[in-house]
Amino acid sequence: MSSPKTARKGNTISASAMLIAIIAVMYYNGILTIPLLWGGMVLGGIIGGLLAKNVKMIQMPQMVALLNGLGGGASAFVALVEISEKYSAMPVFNRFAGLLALAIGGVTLSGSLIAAGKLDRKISQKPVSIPGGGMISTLIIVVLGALTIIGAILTDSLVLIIASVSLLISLVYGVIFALRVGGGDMPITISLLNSFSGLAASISGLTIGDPLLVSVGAIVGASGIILTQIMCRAMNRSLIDVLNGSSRSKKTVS
Amino acid sequence: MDSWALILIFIIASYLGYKIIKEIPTLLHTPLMSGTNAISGVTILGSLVSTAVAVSKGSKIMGFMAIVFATINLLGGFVVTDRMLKMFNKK
Repeated sequence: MSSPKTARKGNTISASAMLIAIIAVMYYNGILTIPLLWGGMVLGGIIGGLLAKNVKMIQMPQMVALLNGLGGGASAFVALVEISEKYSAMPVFNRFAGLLALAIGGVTLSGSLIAAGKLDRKISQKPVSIPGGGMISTLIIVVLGALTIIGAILTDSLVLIIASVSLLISLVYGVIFALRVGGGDMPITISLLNSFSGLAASISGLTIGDPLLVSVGAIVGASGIILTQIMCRAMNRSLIDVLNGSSRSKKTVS
Repeated sequence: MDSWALILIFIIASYLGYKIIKEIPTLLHTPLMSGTNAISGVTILGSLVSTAVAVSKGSKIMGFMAIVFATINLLGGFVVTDRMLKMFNKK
């Protein structure tokens, strides 16, 4: 994808590579014949294909934001499934990764949906700052971190409740996070959220111990964060300013 | 797989992501974002595996939704990127 001429071919190649990866993983795990899986893929494929074919060029940014949110949501669901299925058998490392994937996936899902809504003018494009928003979001990050660590140490069934709570909190955080950003800064936010969804995929890969997921997710995560920085520099904005809707001065970047 | 090996993979892949960005012209950054977005649908691999081994009904439903979401992300992302790149070729 290093020049416009070859970029399209590169895109096709990566799409085919993904198809091969799906088949290979299914074959390797001996799950090639489970109808539930195929049903999900066909349904998702039809919805995704129709959406992408019919969307107008001018609506592209919100489309990307929406897709991105779904990807983050999918990672959160994977983590949730893993946690609810075999938590007691998981080592601490995997539990920690699972809860982390849940939190990041949740933020990506709700943040991207708000971003898409803003770009589509369904929600006001003005930055909305909740009174004491900076403090609230710091508090949320601390609570999320604490829940993740506590959940990783606990072994009993209480963990499902902790997981649900931390998913809920992360969804709320995503909303607050995206609402604070003004319409003009949305591309940067989407790029950041894109990086998050890659990170979520990568961490959910750590949870289930899948090296392919870890590596591809990390590539997306790293390239996304650098792209975000490049975009910030191009627009002459600092990332912190963007996240605060430019008026506030202090906020921790998670 | 060993956790430390996975963490190592994570670090190497992050570095690779950094290198990829360096080699791509600014002109292509928007489709690149859309493309990496499509690739983040790779989480479908995880959802397939964990749904297949899921036992309880609740997990199966969640897993099914994960597959649907990830497929929309994956396929939609690639088609959108392709349409964007098509515009470049016309110019």
